[in-house]
Amino acid sequence: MSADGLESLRVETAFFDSMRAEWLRDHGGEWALVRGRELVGFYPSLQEAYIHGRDRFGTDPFLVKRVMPSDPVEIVHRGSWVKRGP
Amino acid sequence: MSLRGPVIDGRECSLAMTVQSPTTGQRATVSAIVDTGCTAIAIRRDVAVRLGLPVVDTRAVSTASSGAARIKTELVIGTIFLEKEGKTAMSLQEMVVTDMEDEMLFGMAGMRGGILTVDLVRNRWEWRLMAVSQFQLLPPGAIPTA
Repeated sequence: MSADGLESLRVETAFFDSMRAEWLRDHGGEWALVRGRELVGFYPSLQEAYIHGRDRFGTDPFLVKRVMPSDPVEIVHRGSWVKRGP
Repeated sequence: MSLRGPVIDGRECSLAMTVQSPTTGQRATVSAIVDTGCTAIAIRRDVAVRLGLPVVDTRAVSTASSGAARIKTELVIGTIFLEKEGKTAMSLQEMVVTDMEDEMLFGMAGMRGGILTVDLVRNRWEWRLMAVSQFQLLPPGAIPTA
């Protein structure tokens, strides 16, 4: 992703974080579509949020994020019990 | 005296999975390692870039190289295609972008709705999609070829 795209995502993430508590009250578990400092809408699924964003903004960057109390931390370790195939 | 637990002599369980960008339509078939030690679906950076998978968020991850430290990485989305009883199941999924050797780790987030069978006697690991609530079923033969 370009530097402009990452900066755009940083702005959208900061906006999302500033609104998170308010959005949680009525939209917890839904997916938010954010462009810049504008909320485009809430959607019941990732797919619906993304398709709406793609149709409206094309290849320009936008944020699609689930409204949750906090963001998960993912563990990405290849299991140590998994040997590589022959 | 030393205590020693069972030795698991497992080999990798991998799926040939077709991944498509919902933006560019670019697709590729990758080797996805079924890995219960991974919480998300992870995709190697060069594969995500080659397919043009759109970045929709960032995510904190703990990797083998970062250890306990958390690093921020891009979260992309892509459509994955799986075979189920002769039909094709399709689903848009989030994937974390990481620098790693494997093309894809198919972690717990992707395994929802499937059954992982671990047969240590026959040394066989198999994951099969069972419930398709998060998937859309397509007619037979609809899976795209990369």
